[in-house]
Amino acid sequence: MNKFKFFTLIIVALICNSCTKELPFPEVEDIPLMVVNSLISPDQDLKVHISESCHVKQQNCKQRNITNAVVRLLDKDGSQLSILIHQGDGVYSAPEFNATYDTEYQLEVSVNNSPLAPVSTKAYVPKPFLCSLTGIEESIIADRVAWNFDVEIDDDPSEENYYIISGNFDIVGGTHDRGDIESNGYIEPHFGHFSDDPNAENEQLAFSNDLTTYPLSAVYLSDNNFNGEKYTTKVGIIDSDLNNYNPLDSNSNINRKIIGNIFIKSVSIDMYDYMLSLEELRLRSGDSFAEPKQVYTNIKDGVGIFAGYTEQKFSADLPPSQFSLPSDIYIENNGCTAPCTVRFSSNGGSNVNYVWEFGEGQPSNGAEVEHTYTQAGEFIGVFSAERIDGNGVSWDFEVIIN
Amino acid sequence: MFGFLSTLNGDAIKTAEVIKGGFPSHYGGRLSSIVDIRMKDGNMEELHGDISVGLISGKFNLEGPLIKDKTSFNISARRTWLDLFTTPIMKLSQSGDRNKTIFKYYFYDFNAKINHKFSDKSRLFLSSYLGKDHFKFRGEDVSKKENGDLEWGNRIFSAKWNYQLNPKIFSNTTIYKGSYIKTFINDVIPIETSGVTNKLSSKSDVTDYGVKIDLDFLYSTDHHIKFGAGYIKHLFKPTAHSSSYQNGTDDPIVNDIPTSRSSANAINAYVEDNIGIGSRVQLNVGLHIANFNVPNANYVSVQPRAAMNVQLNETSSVKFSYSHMTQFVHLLASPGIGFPNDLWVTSTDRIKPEKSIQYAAGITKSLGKGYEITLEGYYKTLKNLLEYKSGISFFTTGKDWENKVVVGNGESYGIELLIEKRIGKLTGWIGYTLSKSNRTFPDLNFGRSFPYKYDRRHDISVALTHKKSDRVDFGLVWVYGSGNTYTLGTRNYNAINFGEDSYFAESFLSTFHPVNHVEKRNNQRAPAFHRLDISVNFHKQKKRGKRTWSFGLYNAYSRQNPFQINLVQRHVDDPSHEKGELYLEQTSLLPIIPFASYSFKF
Repeated sequence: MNKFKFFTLIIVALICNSCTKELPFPEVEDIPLMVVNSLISPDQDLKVHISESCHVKQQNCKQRNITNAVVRLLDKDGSQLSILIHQGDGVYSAPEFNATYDTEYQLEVSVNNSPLAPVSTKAYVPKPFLCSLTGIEESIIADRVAWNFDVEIDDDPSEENYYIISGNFDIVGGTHDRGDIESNGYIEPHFGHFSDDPNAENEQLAFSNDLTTYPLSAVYLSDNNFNGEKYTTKVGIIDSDLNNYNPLDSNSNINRKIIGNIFIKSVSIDMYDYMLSLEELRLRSGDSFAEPKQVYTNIKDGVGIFAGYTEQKFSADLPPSQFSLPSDIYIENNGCTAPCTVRFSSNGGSNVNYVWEFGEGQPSNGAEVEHTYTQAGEFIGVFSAERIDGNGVSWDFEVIIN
Repeated sequence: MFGFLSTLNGDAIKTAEVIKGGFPSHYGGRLSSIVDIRMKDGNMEELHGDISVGLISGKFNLEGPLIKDKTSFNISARRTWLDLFTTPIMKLSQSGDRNKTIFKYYFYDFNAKINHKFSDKSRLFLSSYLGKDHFKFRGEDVSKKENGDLEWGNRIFSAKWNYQLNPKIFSNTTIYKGSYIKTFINDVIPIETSGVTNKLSSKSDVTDYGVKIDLDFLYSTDHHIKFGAGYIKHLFKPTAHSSSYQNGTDDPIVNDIPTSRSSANAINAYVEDNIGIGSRVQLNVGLHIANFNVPNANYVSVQPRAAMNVQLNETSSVKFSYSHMTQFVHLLASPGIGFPNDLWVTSTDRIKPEKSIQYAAGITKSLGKGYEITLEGYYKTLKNLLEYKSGISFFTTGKDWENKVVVGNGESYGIELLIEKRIGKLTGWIGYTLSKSNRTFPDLNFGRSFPYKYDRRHDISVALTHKKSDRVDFGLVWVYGSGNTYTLGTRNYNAINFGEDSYFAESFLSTFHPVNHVEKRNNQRAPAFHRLDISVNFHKQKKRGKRTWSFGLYNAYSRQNPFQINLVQRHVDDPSHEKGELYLEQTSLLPIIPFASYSFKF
């Protein structure tokens, strides 16, 4: 082997080994952490879910429920209130226990004969608060048809309050094809929640206006700027599909109504930080150009959340949608003898642009129009309806004049 | 870049001074260390030059008179061609591999200067600098090809008129234009036409136009006064960004985010006095005042500075300094360990200028035989620093960059020990710095302080030259630095799900959302960076000049220094591991590289 060849081989060998190499993970990760998930509120039974974490190298962390944990609920001073009982699937509950307002609770969880470190945490259940739903109106938000809920909150100036407001819809009567997103009897909003309130965190969260890709789960609001007065905020729920539901269900011919529900939660700061960070994680996951998002936890020596909230719920029938697209058109006096006037109408909302082309003459605009045919014949007309957000429908129709 | 070539071309530079603490008042607009570079004026008498050709780089320098004793010039240029050497080797070493990765890097720069002497009292200097770094990445696997191109460079043009008003007052009037341009292109092209094509490109551009006048007034032997004023117009175009996404042969979906052009006007003025108090005490006191104007905001900053040097005895001296500094442009460091994609942005009505206050003290002692030892300590507070919001992509930073950043504070402190030997056969220095740099941002890491990306606990540099004879000398450079910090989620777990399903519903514990648990920001530290470069030079005086043969090894023990650290999915058909697991992969750039060069100086 000549010297040059030998030299080249050495260099190649060195470079082969130099491009990439595997680094060890920090050793501490081999020990799992206990995961505690629980929200505490006078409005619902206490449930605590206990599981354990996976190593970061496992991409799809399967739920590893812990079924033999000792879960103790204590009051602020450390006196035991209840020992929770395992109900299956890692969920523990305290059937006799009812949480009270303006109270701090402690939770201690340990697992016998396990490498999992025992964990402890505290949760504060906020005071009850006064609020009301003062109006519902339909509008356009971010180029989409949405329902705006006016929520009025009486601020308690003596403490900092954090609110998480979300809503959903309920279609009562008739049939609907929103089964894919129906949950617990409610219709979840398709495109999430929106707020133009500068005190809300939503604009910061939705750094992209593309709410189809980045739907927000709620409106997040802290009372830093409320000054102890009544404060009104608008919670927008973007769901343009919902507006296509007409009061009359054309499939079943049943008059249905759509109910809007709004949930206003006064939450502890722990819950607020947790929910906000989870929301951001959800919105921004999968971006390799970003620093990983940190999710808040208040579980000492573990991860997860134990936090308190109180909730008020309001429901109201939605008024007929101004923006609903028609599902049908009605032609009166079809088959008349020329010259005669035919009346056309549709069942769409008042804030939709309608165009009727009659198969002859000038087209007309409006939800209800008339056209006078002067000659006999078969006319193929075109009906179209377009909403301000660009969504629309169009049909051909036939008019026969004798 | 990559510690491979100094950004300063030694052939073109007359003096280069690094100022880390005790900043005199005539410097402004920066918070951290300043490198003050003065280019060579050019020889007025006769033509001189040198040329060097090596395996990995080449350079030349030429200086001489255009009109004897009136006008001179100095030009120099450098180019690395390491890429010509490594690319074929990388290709060869990966032939037959399913996944191929090739990195290419080159750098070039060009300096030119013209010096004209109108009279003994009046001189004009015209100079320009062009420099560009080019980094390329080519990757290939079963399903796709990936190209990445990152270029960044500076251009500086300046004209300086040096005029002596009277024997005690000198003036320098300078006009200049400087620009920094960075472009980044990343294309992912599928092998099959039905795959997804992703194209990204971004460009950012900062240009400064400036004029300044500096006066030196030698009032007396005990008072050397400097004063001056300047105006700078900054034009910022941070990251115009364009992306396109194409599924198969569908029409591509193009998303263009135009850049936000913004401009700023900066005016500054300073005065400082170098005062001699007796024979042992030197005092420098001064004030730097700056006004920065951007749309809807005006910032005034008053920056007092003071430094004192006390000669204790013939061999020892101590120094103290105190400086207020304000910086109107912000460096937005890209998160993670990877592509060098840091961005310069301006202060705005929402983002205030960065400020720092620095205290430093040091002691220097000569030990005899040419040895000198210096020990220095510093403490620095920093205000209004910028970082990207947690979870936000730096890549799409365009118009709305202000919405993607958070503001916070920092502090750093450390001690530096430097042992220098300036005379004798063996010359050089050994330096060690122990330091800590923390950041505290209300909206990052839940308000708790965290280590800075460039928090470097230990930093060692050794540079030694042994001159065996006039014909042979040996050089050794060893650098060591603690690794940069980065954020890694340490565990995965399931959080209460909400979003698609209501968390407030009765069944809120029925489904869960997977979470990668990140305990602290910058919780991991990359492996330390260290490298040894050794060289031997053989000089010989020829009839027309001096020739030098240099041989050496770059990265002599082939340390794999981290360039990128990624979580990577293990290859599915890897028999030794569970399918689809993630592992931490470090990518390194430059292994051991032998070099040889020939240079000739006349």
